[in-house]
Amino acid sequence: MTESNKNKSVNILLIEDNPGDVTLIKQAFGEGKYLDSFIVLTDGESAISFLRKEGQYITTPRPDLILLDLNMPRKDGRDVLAEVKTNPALKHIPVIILTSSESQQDITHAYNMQANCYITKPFDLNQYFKVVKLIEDFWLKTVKLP
Amino acid sequence: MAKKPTYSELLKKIDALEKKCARYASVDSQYRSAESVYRTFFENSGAATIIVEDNGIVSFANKQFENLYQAKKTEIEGKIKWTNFVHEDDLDFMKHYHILRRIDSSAVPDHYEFRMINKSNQLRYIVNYESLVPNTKKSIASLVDITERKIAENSLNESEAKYRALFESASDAIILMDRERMIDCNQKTLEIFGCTREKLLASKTEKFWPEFQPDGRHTSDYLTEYFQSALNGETPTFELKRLRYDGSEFEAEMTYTIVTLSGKRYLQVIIRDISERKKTEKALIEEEEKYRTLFESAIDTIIIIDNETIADCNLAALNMFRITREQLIGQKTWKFMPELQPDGLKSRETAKEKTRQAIKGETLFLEWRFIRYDSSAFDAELTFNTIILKGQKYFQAIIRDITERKQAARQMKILTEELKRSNTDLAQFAYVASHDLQEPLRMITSFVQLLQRRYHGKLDKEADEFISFAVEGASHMQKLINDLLKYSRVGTHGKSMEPTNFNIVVTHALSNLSKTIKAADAIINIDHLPTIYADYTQMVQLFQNLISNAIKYRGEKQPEVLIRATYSDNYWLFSVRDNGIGIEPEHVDKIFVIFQRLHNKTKYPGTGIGLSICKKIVERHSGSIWVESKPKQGSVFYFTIPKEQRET
Repeated sequence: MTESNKNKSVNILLIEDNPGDVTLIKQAFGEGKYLDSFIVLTDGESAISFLRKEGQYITTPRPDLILLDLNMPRKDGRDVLAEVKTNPALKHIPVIILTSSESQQDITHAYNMQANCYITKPFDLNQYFKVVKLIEDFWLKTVKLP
Repeated sequence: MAKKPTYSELLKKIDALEKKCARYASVDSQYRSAESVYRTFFENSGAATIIVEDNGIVSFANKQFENLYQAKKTEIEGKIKWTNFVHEDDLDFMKHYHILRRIDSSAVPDHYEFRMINKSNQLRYIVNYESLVPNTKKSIASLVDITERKIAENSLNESEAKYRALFESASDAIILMDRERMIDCNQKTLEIFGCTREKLLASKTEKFWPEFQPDGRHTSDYLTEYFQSALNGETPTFELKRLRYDGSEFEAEMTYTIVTLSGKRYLQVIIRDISERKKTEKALIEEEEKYRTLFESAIDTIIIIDNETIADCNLAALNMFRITREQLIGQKTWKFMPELQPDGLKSRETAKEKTRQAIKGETLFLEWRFIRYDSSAFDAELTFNTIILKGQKYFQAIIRDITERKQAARQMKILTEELKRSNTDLAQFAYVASHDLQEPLRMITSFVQLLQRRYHGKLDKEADEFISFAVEGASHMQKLINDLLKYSRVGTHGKSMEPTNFNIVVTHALSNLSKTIKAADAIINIDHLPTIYADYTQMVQLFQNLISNAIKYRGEKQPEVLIRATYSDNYWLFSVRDNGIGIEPEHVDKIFVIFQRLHNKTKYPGTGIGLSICKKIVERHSGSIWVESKPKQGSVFYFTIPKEQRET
């Protein structure tokens, strides 16, 4: 493999309440090649606990990349984003907002909170796969992560 | 110097003088005695007498003249001229007489009348007997005071003249009759009967009477009766039909009186033509009957009020108040009102106030609550004004029960509010539904597509087909939901109306469609367009939809689109004309209905939402949209936008 980041060593934190989307994203990443790299959390509260290494998450490693949905029960993506980008220990982690919201307000807010990029979930599967491929190519294969 | 006379000469002269003196004394004495005789005559002539000199001075006046003239002799004799006591209107002829008498006394009448104004400023009528004193230019005048007689005479003449004047100028005809014969009549009589005095007096009275009166009775029966009554000293007044000289009829009011003139008894007949009055009376009665009919047959209640008392009412009133006429008439109006009106005002006080307004001549319209005889209340519309009936002022209240109308209005208000709410709900529902449907649909689409991606060609042929139907269905549904969302956003996400330049709007729409236009090689012509209040984004969408339709439904020819705007009344009329396939007349109504499509999806893809969105946009701008089309020749889409936008 010529990739700059070895598959095994990459930890991707996916925070997404819709199991369908979880499956789609996992399937799309390298057509299923990164399945083991994913840590999936389905609400903002557990995501924050995870990132703070609280309770059951005391031994879990820090993720290299965060894929974050915005609309979730309890604490939502906005709270998670705020936690990550205001915590000195976390703010270096790239956060990709992956949501179905097309709201201009959400987009502006996300960038103001230092989100690294904002992507609207495409309706068409091919488009979906294309987007995920772009994420993979860029964030996992092109850029150097801290 | 003259020579001094001698003594003897002087004596002679004295003697001569003495003789002369004696002679004079004798003449003087004779003269004095004659004068005293005349003086006695003069003083006792029984008439006021004066001597007038040639120059008009009164040189002598007797006692009677003193009395007549009301001054002392000393103030008269030698002090006044005769012209001082003559009435100015008589001066001229008397001055003439004065001169003429002294030239030729036979040319002047020896007596005549004149008017004197005496010293006390009283007017006296005088007969003057005057003649010259022989051989002198003096005249002697005896003045006889005839004032008393004159006044008596004048007053008699006056009263006679007055009577005649009254007789002639009377506004009624007056005829004096001696038995059956007319002996005199006044001017008015001739006017009423329409003939000359001669003809009238020469005619028999029967000529002026119809034989029978309208009630069938002989006219002569009536006349005999009234004549008898007059003979008994009464003055009967009666109305009968009479005839004019030309035989035409008229209504007469007559009075018979027996009068005595110069000891003879006559019948005085006063006649008044009352045809006009009768006509007016008849009209008045008819008018009243008409009013009564209207009054009784009116659907609205009409109540006639005298002060606060109900004086009259119609049938509708009895039904409205559920009462009999006997129970209603004579009652006080306030017994049929609640103490307080719905707005909290006191009924009786307010009614009094309204009455005062009505007296000023206003007609008042107000809503009023009444109470029926059975104590149930109802709301009414009340019209209140004053009317004159038989010369007396009354208040007329016209009452219309508006309970049903009020209920209907209330019902309408509730319905309108419900409709508004349900409309808002529906718009909200459409938006939320289409928005929230997107997520599960995205899952369906994605996973069906994933299935296709993973298992295409790995199962059997049928499975491939099934999956492909599912993919197509899901994808179409997604388009529908997207359009539905757009459609509902027209109402819920519209922007405010701003001055909008339609030239820019169309340019914007064309730039959005640039690929389509290029691909179809379409020619777009645009007239100059106005600037009006509108939602810019929606206008772009509107034109974009219409232009893209015009190109999409093109025929064999190169597509041509013409966009124009004309102004009329208070709105702008826009048109988008194409040379495309056109629309069959029977389909014209369908095209604006949501999701209605005229063609199959393969030839003309789309969901059928475009024109529904156009309609919704135009309607949001208080305009309307329609199409005129000929199949195979093209369509013109028209829409209007009012010049002034009301805030929505």
